[in-house]
Parts: sequence; structure tokens; C-alpha cells
Amino acid sequence: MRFSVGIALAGWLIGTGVPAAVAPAQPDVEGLLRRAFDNYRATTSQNQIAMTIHRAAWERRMQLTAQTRGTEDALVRFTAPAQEAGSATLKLGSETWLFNPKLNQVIKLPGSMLARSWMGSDFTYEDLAKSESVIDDFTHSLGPGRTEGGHGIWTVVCTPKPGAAVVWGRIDIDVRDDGVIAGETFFDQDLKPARRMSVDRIAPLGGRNYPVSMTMHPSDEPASWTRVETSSARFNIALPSSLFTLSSLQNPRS
Amino acid sequence: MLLALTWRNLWRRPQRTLLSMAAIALVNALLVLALSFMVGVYGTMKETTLRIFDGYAQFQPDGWGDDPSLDRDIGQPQVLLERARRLSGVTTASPRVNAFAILAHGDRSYGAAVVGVEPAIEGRISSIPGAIREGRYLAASDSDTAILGELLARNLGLKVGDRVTLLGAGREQASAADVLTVVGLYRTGIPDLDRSILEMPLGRAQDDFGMQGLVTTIALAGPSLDGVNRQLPALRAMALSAGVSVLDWSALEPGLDEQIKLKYASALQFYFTLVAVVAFITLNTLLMSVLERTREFGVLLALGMRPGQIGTMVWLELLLMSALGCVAGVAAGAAVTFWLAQQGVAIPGLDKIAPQFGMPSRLYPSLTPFSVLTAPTAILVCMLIGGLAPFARVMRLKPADAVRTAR
Amino acid sequence: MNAILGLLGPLAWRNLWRNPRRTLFTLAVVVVGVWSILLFDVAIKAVAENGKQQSLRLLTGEGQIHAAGYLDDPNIDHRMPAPTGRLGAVLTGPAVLAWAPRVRVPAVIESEYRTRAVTFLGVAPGAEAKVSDLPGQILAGRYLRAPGDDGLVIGADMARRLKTRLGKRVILMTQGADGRLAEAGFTVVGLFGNVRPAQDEFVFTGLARAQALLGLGGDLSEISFDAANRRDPAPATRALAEAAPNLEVDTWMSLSPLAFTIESLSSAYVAVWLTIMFVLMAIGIVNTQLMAVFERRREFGLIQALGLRPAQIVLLVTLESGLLMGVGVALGVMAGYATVLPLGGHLDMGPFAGAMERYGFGGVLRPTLDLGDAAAVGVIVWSLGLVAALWPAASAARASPILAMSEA
Repeated sequence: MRFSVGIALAGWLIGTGVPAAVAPAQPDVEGLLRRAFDNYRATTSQNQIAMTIHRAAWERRMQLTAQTRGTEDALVRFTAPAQEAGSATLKLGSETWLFNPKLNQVIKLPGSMLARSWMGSDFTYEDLAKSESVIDDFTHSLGPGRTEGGHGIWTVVCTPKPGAAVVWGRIDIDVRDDGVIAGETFFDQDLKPARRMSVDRIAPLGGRNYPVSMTMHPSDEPASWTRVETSSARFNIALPSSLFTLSSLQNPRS
Repeated sequence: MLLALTWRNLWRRPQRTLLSMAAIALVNALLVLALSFMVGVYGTMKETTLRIFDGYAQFQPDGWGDDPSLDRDIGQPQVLLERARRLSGVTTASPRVNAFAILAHGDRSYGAAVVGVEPAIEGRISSIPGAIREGRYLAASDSDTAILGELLARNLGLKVGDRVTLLGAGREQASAADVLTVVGLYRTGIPDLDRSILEMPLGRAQDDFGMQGLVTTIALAGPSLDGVNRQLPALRAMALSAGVSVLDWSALEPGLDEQIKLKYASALQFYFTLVAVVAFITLNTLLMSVLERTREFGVLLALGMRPGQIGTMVWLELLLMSALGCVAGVAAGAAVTFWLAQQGVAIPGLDKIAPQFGMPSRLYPSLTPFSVLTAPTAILVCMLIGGLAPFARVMRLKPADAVRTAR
Repeated sequence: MNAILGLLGPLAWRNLWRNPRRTLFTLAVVVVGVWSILLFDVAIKAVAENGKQQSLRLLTGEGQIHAAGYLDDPNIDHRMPAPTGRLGAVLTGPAVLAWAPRVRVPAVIESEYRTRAVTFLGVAPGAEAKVSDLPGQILAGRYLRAPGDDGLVIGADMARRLKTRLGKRVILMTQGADGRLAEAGFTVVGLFGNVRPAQDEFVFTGLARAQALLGLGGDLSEISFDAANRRDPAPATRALAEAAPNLEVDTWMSLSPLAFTIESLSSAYVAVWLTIMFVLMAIGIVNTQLMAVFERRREFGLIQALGLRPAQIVLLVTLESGLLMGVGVALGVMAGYATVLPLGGHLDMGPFAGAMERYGFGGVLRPTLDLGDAAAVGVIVWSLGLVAALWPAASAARASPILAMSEA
């Protein structure tokens, strides 16, 4: 049976409390995206994550806990393997500090070492934080939808606004009918896929359906990928502001 | 017999012959000197630049230059090191670990290149150990010491004796963290180098960055750049069997290579113009003399010599004279160059700047087959071709007209 | 004396043209000699200007002005306000030929596929073209058009490494004046050539655009200048240092000492070259004149028999040479101008331009023939020719009348 976007969308909007009389002539794609992001990161979150970096010659698996506030602030602490355990990163806006237990020192990341890659993986910080940039700097439309595993999946086609500080030619974000991010494809300016994030598994977590396993594949390096698996999460919890400070970075409270 | 005639013809008017030979000799001598200087000075420039840090050649993992990652390494470096050192002309092979890290002191932090080196060997490749201005270089017995560039130290607010923190990512993205004691500061005079490099003992760097038993590059040097270049084929074979690449000096410093090539090209253009001018002047004189000797040729024709033989005789005169001039010029030029190669030439102002860069404070020419043979070859080729003009003129002589030529 | 000159002058002139062939041989040497010396001079100067550029005018210029501490740590914190007052007066005054303001800070450039560390420059294109040759080394696309131009010009090799092209967008990240991250998208509008390390390091946009991005107001990182006296930038440097005591003023000699070495070598070369050319010409003249005199020994014998004294024969031959040299020099200078003028001070190197641009030269040489140089060469050659003619003249005077006439 062919899946009908319009009916499903209308139904979804009605389901979330929008009066039927005000059903929009244009589907609110932007709203769709916002809700998907909100589902993913909430206003605050605390997660346990396992990150696997795979290269042609090696593979490395790390465990960490992450506490986030909005899209700009995050405290990440590594728990495994032993060599990394205790290392931590604090990001506040555009500044980042590093802590290493062996050194017992907090070091600021110098401006000359800005790099997109987060912790040497194929994900950028923006990927993991789902920054507002995709909403603000792009125009959105709905692409063809599909069905998978009993769920309808919309593809939100994001095209950069003229003059936006964005390097992609297009980003396609797959959103499942229950508002979970189901995948992302980043296209270069020739509209060839440059990297693809696949969501391998969606499962209930912290009271919502969640992409518990995501893998980023760069297109120009087929043997490389990075997988982020979230094993537990709590969303919209109260995180003390003292958590996102340098002293907290150095001295974790359990 | 033609040759005997040619020889005597040359000396029938010694002034003329000697003047033309003098012109040719002068140009030869000058070109030998100029080309030797070019080769020598550019050689010095190359060696000075390469000696600062690169070495005269390097073993590197394939593709490392474009993507210097610690995930690639030279496996079994000991084998390569020993084999390279046994080549004549390559006296030093220095293993290194090249990484990148954040250096921090107090509340200041800077990104820098971190190089793990063998202190005892490094001084034979790089001039950095000799450029220490405060404190001392690393010692073979050191474990947790470091030296850095003056500007980097100043930016970090460091003095000799302070501790510097190092934080970065090692092999397989494992974190690398260490605290080292600064024992010396160096100054090369090149700001980019003085603000971006820290050197530490190789073993400690290998431990910190997860590179135990591995290195990322091996720098090679010897008494001269040419000596190392001659061994490039052998080095390439070694690299191939070890699964790595060898980079020669032009790959290590492509900007320098391009600069020098361009200077060579424009210099050679001038030199060849000079050759053309001297050829023109000599041929001019010869042509005039051929015309002056019309009566003489007429007599020879009447006596039974064929125009072709007369033409050849004239051509031979030209070539013989040029050859003698070339030989004399090259000999004189080479002698002067040889003497200067021992003495050096002082350029005002150079002696003040040069020591900073490890450059010798005098300029030395360098006699090579190229610098010695280019001039005579160019001139003789010009004469060979240019001699066609008088030859053609002789061919057009008619015996009766020739004998009858009045002045 | 005048009577003698009056007699010998016209005689000398007619002698020259009685046997045009003979005269033409010497004339050929002189004309070609003068012409090639002038061309040499022009070419050396054009290439030297161009080549000095290669070491200097990529970015160093003859001198630079920075805020204190910039050379140690070239980041945005070490900046200076736009030049006004005394400094502005010196920069626009007679000691300085041209000057260019710049923003120059470390940054990171990002394409869809790669991220690289670069040096980010904001420049004023008009001013920049006067102190740097890079604006003329564009391989594809265009250079910047105005200080407000928000396009980005990067090295051709950089584009390759980033896997990007003309017309595509890249992102630049750097530290702003407020210490926070500044980030903006730029369209690649031009690709420049030059030595590869330069292509991999520098990216350019308009000065105003860079200042706006970094929140600098009108502040600058550096000023590059050329002194009015090309051979000695010291007076200009002193004047600037006095006008701006809290800034650092450096000349290219301290900023690029290797270039200094090459420069001093080149000046010595040029002097030696020109000397050799003159000597070669002198030899050519002596040789041809000796042959001419030898051919004319009967004539000289006859003249002596008619009463002309040896000293006067020397004078005659010298006069002939003087006239001959004069004609030759004039023709040589004209030939020089005829070769250089049609170029209009602009020689496009055509098929070589590409290679030249890759190696850091502009693909265009600017040959000009300085009247002073032409006059100097002319006078020197003429005098040289006269001196060279003395030997043949003496030889002519020694012709014995009887022996000469007895030759049938």
C-alpha cells in the first residue's frame, strides 16, 4: 500500500494537539526537524556511550559518559579503556578544555588546533550535538518517504540558504514517523554523497524512542567508519550549572 | 694535408687568430667560473636549508607527506638504519617519531610539532642541536627532557628548567600525555621553525604516542648532498623492499627546488646569449677574412683544389681556432675556479647574516662536468653551424673572378 | 689643427663608404654589440625586477610594519590601528613608493572533505598589486576586486588538497578579536599559482571583509611597503620607525636573508657580464679594423707618398673609426628601441607564462629601455671603439710607402 505523506503528517500533527481546523497547507517540515532534534538531545541529557573508531589497520572502542546542556555545552568523561579512563573534555560555546588524569592538569585547546573531527572520530561535534545550524541556515522541504520495519520514514531535504556558512550542498535527514532520527546523508556541492550517517538501531531509551546505534561512513574512505552506541540516557534532567566549570572538569563529583 | 694547411693558415696572421682565440677563451673562462659559482652557491643554499632539519633524503611511509598520521610507520626501522648507514656517502641515518600535540605551561597553550629523536645521531643531520642558545641539547642519557624553539618558549612563558606539559593523540587515537623538563632553547632565525617545534628523546616519544619500536621517518645525511643523491637508486631499492618510500631533497623542499630551477633557467638564457654574441663576432671576423683572401683562394682553385676542399679548410680553421680558444679558456677558468674553491669569495654583509643560518660566510664555486663542459660545447656547436656561412661563400667562388679580384 | 681636421674629416667619411663591404663588417659588430648590450641590460632589469619579486614580492615586500610581538606570535591579539597622523604622512610621502595594509592571522579552512590549517589574509587589491606580484599570478578565476570583496582566493594546490574548485563554498574558522571563534562561508573565486608551499599556506579575501569577520574595526596585522629608493630601503625604514615608535619596522634583508644573498650575487654578476660584453666587442672591432687596415696598406702607402705624415694617418684612421662607431652606436641604439618599444613595456611570456607563474614569476615581464642607460652604453662603446681603433691606426701609420706601393 502506498504510503501517503499528507495523511500521515496531518494525523501526526493532530495527534500532537494541533487543531484540525488550523491544519497547515504546507507541512511544517521545520517543525518536524525541530522535534526530531529535541527527541535526540533534549535541553539537557546524561548518556553512557560506547564509541568505536574503525580504520583499515585498526579498531578502537571507547566508553564515555556525556552530560550536555543545550547545543553548546558538554562535559565528556572517558571511562574505558584504561589508558583513556579519567580523561575529560569540557566544551562551553566555542572554547574547549581538556583534562588528563596523568597530568592532573586542565589545558585549553588552542585556537590553532580547531578541527572538525571529535576525538579523532568521523563524527563532528555538530553531528553529535545536532546544532541549530541545520534549522537556521537551511531551507527545508519533504522528499519522497518510504516504509521500513513497520514505520513510515520521511526524508527532510535541507538546502543551504544563500550566503550560509555551510560547506554542504545538501543534507537529507531521515525522520521516522515517531520523530526519531533515522539517518543522515551529507552531499558535497556537486550533490554527490560525501558522508552518510546510518542509524542501525532504534530502541526505547530514557522514556523515548532513540537512535541507540549510529554509524558515520565517510564516502571517500570506504574502510573507515565510527559507531556511537548509547547504552543509557536520561533527558531533561536538572544538571547543576557548577557541572560545566573547569573545577568540575578537574574534580568530578560522582 | 688539409690539416697542415689549416694550421699554417691560422698562423699566417697571428694577431687576428690570437685576438679571436682570446675572445673565445675569455667567454669560456667566464662561463666556467659563472657556472661553477651557480652550482656551488645553489648547492650551498640547498645544503644549508636541508641541514636545518630535513636531512638530504628521508625514508617515509608511502603517502605520509600528504597525511602525516601516527597510524603509518616504518616497520623494522633497525634494518633500514643499518643498511642505509653502510652505503658510502650516507654516513648518518636518524630515526624520528613525528607527532603533533598541545604544549601547555601555566595557562598558556600552543599547538606544536613534537619530534622524538636520538640525541647522539641527530646532530649529524640537523643544525638544531648546534643552534641551542640557552641551556643544552638533549643527551643520550636523558629520559624526560625537551628542547624547543625560542619563540615557542617565549609564547609559552617558559625558561630553561621549567616543566612543559604535552597532550595529544597517539597511535590509534589513544591519548598521549607527558610532562617534560626544558633543558635548552634553540634559535634558527627562521620564525616558523622557532615557534613550532619541540624535540624530545625518541624512546620517551615512542612510549607517549604508542609507537614502541616504531618510527615515522628516517632522515639521511652525509658529507655532501651529491654523495647522498648518488645513492638514491640504492636507497630506493631498500625502501621498496621495506615497503616504504624514499624522498629526495627536491621532494623534501619543493619550493627550494622550484626557486633554483627558475634561477638556473634565467641564468642559462643569459649565458647562451653571451655565447651567441661571441660566436657572431668571431664569425664576422672570419667571413671578412675569407673575403679578404679571395685572391688566395682563386690561386688555390687554379692549382686544382676543389671549392669543397677550400670550404672545408676554412671551416676547419674556424673549428681549430675555436677549439684552441676553448681549451685555453676552460683551463684558465678551471684554474681560477679551483683556486677560488679553496679560498671562497667574501660578499659584503654576508658574513654577518650567514652564521645565523648555518651558512658559510664565504661563497664557494664548485667545479663539475656541467660547469666545465657546457661553455665549450655550446661555442663549438655554434661555430659548427655558423661556419656554414663562410663555407657557402667559398663555394660560390669562380676561379677566374677570384684571381682577378682587385682590392 | 682645424685645417687638418677640415681636410681629413670628409676624407675619413668618404673612405668609409668607398668600400661599403669592409665598413659594414665592423658596423655589424658594433650594431650587434650595442643592441645586445642594451637588450641584455633591459632583460636583466626586467627579470631582476620580476625575480626579486619572487623572493620578496610574494608577501614580504621591501619592508613590513607590525605591532610589537606579532613576529613572535602572529595572531590577532598583536594588531595595530590603521595608520594615521605621522605614520600615515610618511607612508603617503616621498620616502615610500607604495604600501599595502593587511590582516594576516592563522585560520582553519574546511571543505566537504578536508580541513587544513592556513594563513588567512585580508588585503586591499589595488594597494596589494603595487607591492606584491601575487595578484598577477592567477591561474584560474579572478583576483580580488576591492577591499570589500568577499570572495576567497586560494592556491591551486590547496584546492586540490581540499577537493574543492572554483565557485564552490568553503568555511573559514579563526579566532576573532573578542577571543571567540569566528566562522564564515566563502566562495572560491580565484586560484593562484606560485611555489607550492605558498599555494598550500595562503588564502586571501578583501581587507574589509576580513576586518568585519574578525571584529577588528579598522585594525591591521601588518603593512607591507616598498621604499622609493629601491636600492636602499634604509632611509624609508628609519623615517617609518621614527613616525611609529611603538611598532616594529623591518626590511626584507632581515626578513628574508637568503634573498639578500642572492641579490648581492646578482648585482656582481651584472657588472661582470656587461664588462665582458664590452671586451668582446672591443676584440671584434680591433680584429675587423686590423683586417681593413691590412687591405688598405697600398692606399696608406700612397697617401704617405703624397705627403701625409704618420701622425696624420693615425688621426685619419681614428677619425674613420670615430665616425664608424658613431653610426654603429646610433644604429644599435635605434635597433634596441625598435625591439623594446613595440612591446609597450609589457611582454607576455605566452607559453612560458604558465611555467613562470608556477615558479613565482608573473607571466609578464616589464621591459623598458632607460634613455640614460642607452646613452651611457652608447658613449662607452663609442669611446671603447676609438681606443680599440688605435692599434690598427698605429699599424696603418707604419706602412712603408715604398713597400706598400710595390705590392702589385
